[in-house]
This record gives sequence, C-alpha cells and structure tokens, in this order.
Amino acid sequence: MMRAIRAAAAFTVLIVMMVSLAAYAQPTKELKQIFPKMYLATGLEWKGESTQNTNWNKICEDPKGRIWWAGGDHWGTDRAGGVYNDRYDRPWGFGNTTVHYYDPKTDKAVEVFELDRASAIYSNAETPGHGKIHSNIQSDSKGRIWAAGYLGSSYNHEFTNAYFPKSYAGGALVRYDPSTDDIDYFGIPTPYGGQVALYLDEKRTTVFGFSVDRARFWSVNYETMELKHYETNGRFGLREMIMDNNGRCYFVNEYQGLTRFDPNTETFTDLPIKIPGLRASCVSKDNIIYGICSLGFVWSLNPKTLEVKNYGHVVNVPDEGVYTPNICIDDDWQRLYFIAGGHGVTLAGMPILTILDLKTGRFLWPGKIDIDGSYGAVVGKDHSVYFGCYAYAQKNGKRLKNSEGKEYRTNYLIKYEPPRNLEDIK
Amino acid sequence: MRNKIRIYWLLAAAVLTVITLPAHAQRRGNIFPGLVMRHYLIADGPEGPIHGGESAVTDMLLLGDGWVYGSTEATWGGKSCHIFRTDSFKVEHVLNLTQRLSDQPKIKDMDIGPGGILVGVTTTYDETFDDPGNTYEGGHIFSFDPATKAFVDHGVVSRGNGLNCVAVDTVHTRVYTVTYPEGKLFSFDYLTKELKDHGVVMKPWRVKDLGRVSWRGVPKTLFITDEGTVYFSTYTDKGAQKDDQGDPTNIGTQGGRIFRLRYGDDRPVYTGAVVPTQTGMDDDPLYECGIASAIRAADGGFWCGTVTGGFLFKFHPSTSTVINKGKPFQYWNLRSLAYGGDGRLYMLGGRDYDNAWLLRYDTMTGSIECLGWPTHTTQMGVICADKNGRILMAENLRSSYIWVYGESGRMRVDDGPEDVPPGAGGEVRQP
Repeated sequence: MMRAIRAAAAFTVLIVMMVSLAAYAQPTKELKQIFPKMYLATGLEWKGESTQNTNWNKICEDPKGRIWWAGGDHWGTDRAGGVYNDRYDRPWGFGNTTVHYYDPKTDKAVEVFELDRASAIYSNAETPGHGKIHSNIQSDSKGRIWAAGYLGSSYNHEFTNAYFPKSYAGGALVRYDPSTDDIDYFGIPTPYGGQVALYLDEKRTTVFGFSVDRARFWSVNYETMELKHYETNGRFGLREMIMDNNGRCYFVNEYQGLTRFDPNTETFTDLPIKIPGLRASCVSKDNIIYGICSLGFVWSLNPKTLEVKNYGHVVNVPDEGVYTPNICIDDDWQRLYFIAGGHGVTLAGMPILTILDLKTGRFLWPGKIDIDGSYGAVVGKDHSVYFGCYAYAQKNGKRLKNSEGKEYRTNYLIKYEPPRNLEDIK
Repeated sequence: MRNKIRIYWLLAAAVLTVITLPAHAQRRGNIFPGLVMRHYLIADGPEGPIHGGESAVTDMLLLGDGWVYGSTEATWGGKSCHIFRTDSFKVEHVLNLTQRLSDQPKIKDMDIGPGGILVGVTTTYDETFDDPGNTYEGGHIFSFDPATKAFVDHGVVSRGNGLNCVAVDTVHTRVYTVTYPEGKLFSFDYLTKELKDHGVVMKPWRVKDLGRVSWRGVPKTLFITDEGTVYFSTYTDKGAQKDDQGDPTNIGTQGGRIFRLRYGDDRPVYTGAVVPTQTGMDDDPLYECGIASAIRAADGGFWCGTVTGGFLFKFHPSTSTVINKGKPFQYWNLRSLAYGGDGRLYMLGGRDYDNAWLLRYDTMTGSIECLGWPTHTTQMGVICADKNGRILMAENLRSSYIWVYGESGRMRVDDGPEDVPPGAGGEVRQP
C-alpha cells in the first residue's frame, strides 16, 4: 500500500513537471507544410558521417548571382543530433565551419573553404576553432567574399572557473576571392571574441564588426590594416548591428531606440526614436531600415526623417514571442520575407514562412517548413528567396537517421520561389 | 514496483533539470545569482538630462547626507559631464558641470573637501591633447556643496593640460593634483588661492593603440596621510646609463617607485618603497607599473592596488614598508577599492575599457577571492559602499549601469525581488 502511495506521489510529481514543461511550448495552428528546395552543406565528415550541425550566419548574393552561405559543427559538441562522440579524434579538432555557394544557373551547391584552415587555426579541445559563422557573409563589388568566425560561449573563456571552451582565439576575418581561389587572412579583430556582425564599407575600405564578447564594436581598414576598437554598444541586441547605405552603423540601445555611429566623425548618437527591438535587419535600396525584434514585431526606420513605422507581429500573435532572427527584402516587388520561429519557438509545429507585402502592410503565410531555425536570408536577382537554415537531415520531406538510428541535425540552404502575384498563395 | 518508483523519480529529476536549466545556464563568470540586488541606468537617454555618452562613471563618494555622489565623463562624441547621486535604488541628477565649465567634458576624479563638500578635477578628450592646434584652456579644480548647491570654480591649473587625479588635505587647506599629459604635481591652497608647481613627476609615453591615443604613466591616484603627506607612484630616472659593456641602456630608469611630498616641501622624494610586480609579466615596467587605487587602512597604512600586476598590497607610510597580499585574479589593474559593511575590502579589477571583476579581501583572515562579474559586457570603473555597506559598482560606458552587490551590507535588507539581468529577450538570452 505504502509503495503504491509512493509510486502515485512520484507519478504525480512527474505529471506536474511535464505540464510545466509543456507550458513552454507554443500553440499550434493548422498550416500546410511546404517543401522548398533544400541544398545541403557538405564537408566536415568524420567516419563517413557529416558533423554539420548548426549555423547562424547571414547570407548574401554575389555579383554573379550566386548565394553564399555556411555550415558549421557548432563546437562539434552540440546538444542534439550532432555526431560528436569522436570529436577529439577529428583532424580539424573542435569546431569548424564550411563556406558554400549555390549557383542558380546550375542549380548546384558547392563547398568552397573551411574557416579553420582559412584562418590557420589548429583547432583542438584546448583551443577550439570556429564552430560557426554568426555574423554576415558579405560580398564586395568584385565578388570577393568576407566572413568571420564565432564560437558559442566564447565570452565565458576568461573567468577563472571557465573550463570550456578554454581559449577560443577569436573570430578571424577572412576574404575569399572566387576568381583566384585565394584566401586573405586579416587576423582577429577582437581576441577571444566571436563575431556576431560584419559589414563592408567599400567607400571607406573598411570592415565594421561587432563581437559578442564585451559587445565590442570594431573596424578594420583593409587597405592600411588599421584596427580600431570603439565603445561597447548594442548590449541589448548583442547579436545584431545595422549598416545603412551611407556606412552609418546602428545598435539597439537601453532606451528602446537605436544608437547611430557616424564613420566620418567616429561618434555615437542616441536617436530620439522608439522601436520594438532588434534581432534581424535589412536595408532597402532607398535606405530604409527594416527590422524585426526577438519577439516578432516588424518595423522600419527612415534614417533621414527618423520616422518609425510599425507593421505588427510577424505571425499575428502579438501575445506570443516568436523568435525570428532573419529578414530580407525584395526591393522590386516591395516585400519582406521571414521564416518566423525556430530555435525552439514555433506556433505551427514548424517555423512559418512569412511574407510582408509592404504595399499593403499585409502578412501572408505560404506554409510551414521543417527546419530548426534560420538566421540568414536574401532575395536573389530572380526574386527567389534564400534562407540559410539548420534542420534535421531530410530527403523528400522525410527525416533521415544516422548510423546510430537517430535523427541528426545539419545545415541547409533553402530556396523559395514566390509567386509574382501574392493572390496566388493559397 | 520499487524499480518503477525509482524510474518515476529519476524521470522527475530529469524533467526538473530541463525546466531549471535556463536559470543555471548563465554566464559562468557571473557573480552568484541573487547577490546582485539590482541595477539601474545612470543615463536618461536622448531626453536627458544625462544623455547616452555622458554617463561613464569616473568616481563615487559616500557623503554625510547618506547619498553616494558620482562623477561622469563624456565618451565618443558626448559633450557633457555630470555629478549625480544615488541611494542604491535610483539616480538623481545633481549638476551638469559642462554647463558651468564649458570646455570640460570630463570630471576625472573627486575627493571630499572641507565640511564634506565635493572637490573635483576636470579634463578633456585625449584626441584634443593630441591636436597641436587645440585651444583647450586646461583642467579646472572645482568644489560643490551638495547641501547648498554652491559651486566654486577654482580655476585652471596648467594651461592646455587636463587634471588626472586629486587629493585634499583639509588640515593644511591644500588640494593636490597631477596634470595630464604634462605629468606635473601641483598643490592649490583653497584659502589663499595660491597654486604651487612641484615639478614634473612623470614624462608619460604617448601611445596610439586600436585607434585611440593616450599617455601612459601619469599617476592615477594620490593619497594623503593625516599629517598631510601626499603619496603617489612614478619612476626614478637617472638618465641614460651604460651597461657593463659600455652600451647605453635604460637601466637608469626604474618604474613603480612610491614617492612622497611632505607638506611644505618643494619637490617629492622617493620613499624607497617599490610597487610589487610580477617580474617578466609586462614589457612596460615604467609606465604601467604603478598604483591604480588606494584606500586608507585602519592602522594608518593604505591598501593599494597595482596597475601591471593587479596585486593588492599594504603600504605603511611611517616605515615605507610594502607588504604584498597577492592577487585574486589573473588580470591586471586593481582599479578601485571600498570597504563593505561586512568589514571586508572589496576591489574592482580589470583592464581599462574591458570587463571588470568584483574581488574581495578579508583583512582579518587574509582570504582573497574573485566574486565574478555582473555580465560579460559590464565594464566598470569604480566601486563605492553605500550607507548600508552595500557595494555599488558603476560602469564607464556610454549607457552605464550601477550594479548593487548586496552581500556586503551590514545587515540583510529586504530590497524586493531578485535582480534580472538586462535585456530580457535581448542580451544573450537568445542566439
């Protein structure tokens, strides 16, 4: 009898905890699943299986119309889906990233370089490599590709109790020239700090970036190799920085607004505006900044007039936080694209492809996609929309299993071909 | 049955772990959760009166009215500096100093003057000093009485130079200060208004690093004994010396030397005491080997923190003795000291313009420990105890916070709910 009571008590505790855990989940809605084309990030194979796991970079289109994105092993120790038991044995050690392009002309994805090798890091358990790219992958006007590294939790490294990772060297800055297959290594702008933003200002021959470690804003003049460190900024966004078409940089600040950096005077100004927050951003050809906050509210800012426009919630559930760290714009068709949700936050069981028609201010949801998260998006010249994603490995809409019989996570580029007429979306 | 019960409990424990994981998955360098009682902004944003870029805290002092008064400097385009006060719950703006002294964007240091008033010194941007065409008039000594709001400008000390630190000798009505980047020690008699030049105590090293110019070596702190002797660190310079091969070397210049200027003396002299360093730790033993902070000890000595090594040492002026107590963390620059209500000595350590750690030394047992940082982006410049002995940690950033460390208080005070780190949904909560 006593045992039965104990069992009932333990079972009750378990049920209560399960209910508590369920409270973290989001409600689901009836929304059809769609199956856009997915292109796998290859490389980083060990014992015949991919160790690709997660990546959080922004993606770009080069002048030839190729889309550049990346895969990464996310330390090689990620919590779910990764192949990491043998991580110490791998020739590339502990944390590595591959950079790829997708060519719409051939409809093929090509693995181009590994970031550890490009930045001469002998990654190992004591000195991990670049587990991912978190900042922007950028193309300059000559089609050269700029990227910088990142390692999760790198900002923990210095405290005396830090045991892992021990001493990430820092987010190295590299430039890849596809025409010569040559890499230029520009060093590590913020030692020990992973980069979470990177923007190219060709007019000033300068790369501006932002590290998660100390929220340090920096610049490198790639002609003179002069490195500058600026004031800590953007502590509230910490993962996002904007550069407008005039080279001015913006950070979300403590006053629910933006702090603007003027590269000519190298000074900062807090703008007298209020925005919902900032997690992802893009800038239109006519220099309007579009942003989305971590809860899913979309807004725009005209930097000239400082007019802020609010467009509402990305999936129209303003009471729910829908983490959406991606956004891109089709200037010609006047649309913003998102994959709403991900990274454990979803309303429909899967992240939701979302279109905001800027002409009408209307949101449309063509469907949900079976991915874990997307951090980079770009619209190609042909109006195709690309998202850099991490997701459970899948083929023809079905999840794959590894040699241990488990579903596993990997990196993809997703290509969505939207209809010209939004009324065609059913 | 027993196995089933065990499985249920194990499952419950696993679920509990998952549920509570976010709370424990904080920065590993964080001060233990719950010990930072709250934090609040000093700047008010674009509306002012303290704008962003005007809230980098340079000093804090507890005055007799129970408020902690702080000074700020303008950074990266900011125009004004301020005096504010805080009661460990909120910040009140007290004075826009730049409105009184228009050429002064930075209050560099403060001390308590006669009758418990504030005495401060001002300076300007390093970029201004580096501009040969600059028209900077020079740093001012000022005083401010919080009770009457009386503000007195005591004038410029050295034309074209800022002021780097200040100490007040109320017995002899003297204010001591060191000019920057000039490196001269001055005394100012606030009764007779006589200004006296005690000579160059440091020829600093101009350094341009990461895009910013600065001058290393100018004494960062002055401290005064009851009889009015002022102490600071600098180098001894015998000029160029030849080594045993006859080649010229810099062995005649030795850094980290503690000097004193007795009341009435014209020139400071070397005490024979040397700031502790870790040999081989730094390739700049002259300019970075000095005292970053000092606070009077109960026995008449002074607790001091070093720049290069980050060591805590005790300096006894009566015997010029240095006792090195060691270092509680691996970095340098023990930049600020304060006694908590628990009687222990709290310390702030970390590089300039970088993270800062809260550290603690128990003067009774000799135990020394590193308590951590509030967040990995907190860059603090100064600490001060409030009237209840809680340690206020003030940032030196564009938009600075004050963080209240509660465990140092004299008694437990119910201050409401536990502090929540900034940026819920913002700072590092999400990837």
